[in-house]
Amino acid sequence: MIKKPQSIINKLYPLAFIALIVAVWEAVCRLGLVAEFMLPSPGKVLNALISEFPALLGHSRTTLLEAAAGLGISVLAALVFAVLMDRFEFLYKAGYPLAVLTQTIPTVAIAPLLVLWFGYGMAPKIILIFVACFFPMLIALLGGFQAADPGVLRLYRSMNAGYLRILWDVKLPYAMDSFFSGLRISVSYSVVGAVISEWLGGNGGLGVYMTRVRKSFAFDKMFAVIILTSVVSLVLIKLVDIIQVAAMPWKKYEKK
Amino acid sequence: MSILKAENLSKSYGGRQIISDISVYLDKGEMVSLLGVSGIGKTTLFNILSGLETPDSGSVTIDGRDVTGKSGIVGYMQQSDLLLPFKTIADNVIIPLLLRGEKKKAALEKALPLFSEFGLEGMENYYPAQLSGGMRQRAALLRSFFYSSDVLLMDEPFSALDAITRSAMQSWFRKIIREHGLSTFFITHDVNEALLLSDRIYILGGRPGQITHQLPNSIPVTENPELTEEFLKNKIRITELINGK
Repeated sequence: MIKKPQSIINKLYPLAFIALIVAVWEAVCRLGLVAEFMLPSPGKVLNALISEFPALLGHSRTTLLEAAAGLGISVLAALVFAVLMDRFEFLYKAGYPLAVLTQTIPTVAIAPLLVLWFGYGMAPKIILIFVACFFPMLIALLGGFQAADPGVLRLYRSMNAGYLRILWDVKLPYAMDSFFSGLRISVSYSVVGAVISEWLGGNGGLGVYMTRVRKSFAFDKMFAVIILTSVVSLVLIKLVDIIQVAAMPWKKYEKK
Repeated sequence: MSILKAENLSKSYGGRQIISDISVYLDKGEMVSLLGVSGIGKTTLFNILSGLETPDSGSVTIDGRDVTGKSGIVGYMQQSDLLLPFKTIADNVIIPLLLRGEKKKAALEKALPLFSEFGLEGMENYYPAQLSGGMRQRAALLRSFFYSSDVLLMDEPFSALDAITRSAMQSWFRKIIREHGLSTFFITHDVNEALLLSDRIYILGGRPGQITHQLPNSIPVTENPELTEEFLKNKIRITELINGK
């Protein structure tokens, strides 16, 4: 399919803007307006990114593993709790405020405690990611269940369908839109959560690397790892988009 | 012999009585319409007949069996087609069969031969969003048909369609119902529709809603029946009855 020129132009706007920022950044560094050890130029950051790439790849692997484990557990737990809260109203009443509470916990603040309790392994990291990702997934699913067409629900009830049948046939498919919106948020939370949890200790991961280069004042590498973290999140969000399109083939026929 | 019989139905919500002492019946193979203005309790009555709601008093029987407040016995079709957007037309149509415990393969074998009769040939693997309003409504009817081949309750089934599609659907619908010997009870606020599709017409009026009149009707067989003098006379008479004259 040929893309409309308009959509290409729309994509050029943000790219041009980013290019402008990078150009200004480079100019500021070249003109010596900022001390070099405080703000490395984009060229130096790029060099650092290339030279450190093999090391960064290994650290990314660790971080991604933690993020995947944390996100996977969050999604599964959110599914279970959303279904239970949908099915039993008292669980909704009891559980919802608690779920909101988990979202108000500053993750940076509890990270040291988690390390204290669970050591330097995977456990505290996964728990931190869970705290960050569970709530958006739960809210997305509960909202998604509400999106089910009441007429369709009535139709199913008129045909004597049980809860599980309605859940599988109606509520879950209707919740998919909302689920993927939640997943897009949670995917980026999971990467950031993994990095934050690694700041406090561990044997590898982008957060560990970040702490290490910060302590040695290698700010070019610091910027390189920050950019890499962003890119990883962006790629994962894009991946969610691709999965969504593949999982919901009927969407392309629906009028906006 | 009446296949569906409702006697002395009353229902109120929050102290406000919606319908009062309604008795209706439906004979085998009969098409009966329930005519009334919006908000008169048509849908409440319909919900009670389909067993989704329990009346405060009165009873509903099908073939002499008490089914008051029991859902899952009569077919059910509404104004909007209520097709599931994420299922293909074939998958939508066989939902009632699957709910009854049939295997998917067997259900499809049963359903597919009827697709051409319902004007849905070649649409089996399309999603509802790819079909026109009339086609979707036919798919919805086919699904209701699989649900119950005895009694079909329809709540303003054609009101969401444009006038031309509606007229085509009505004549097609009449044919299908007759051929399959379905007994249908449908709710409408459209006098034309009632005159075109029913053997008998109930008029619902008053507050709370009750049956004010019951009229026999013969479905016109001529072409463009809406333009005949007789049709217009009937229409005027019924409109007056609805307005309580």
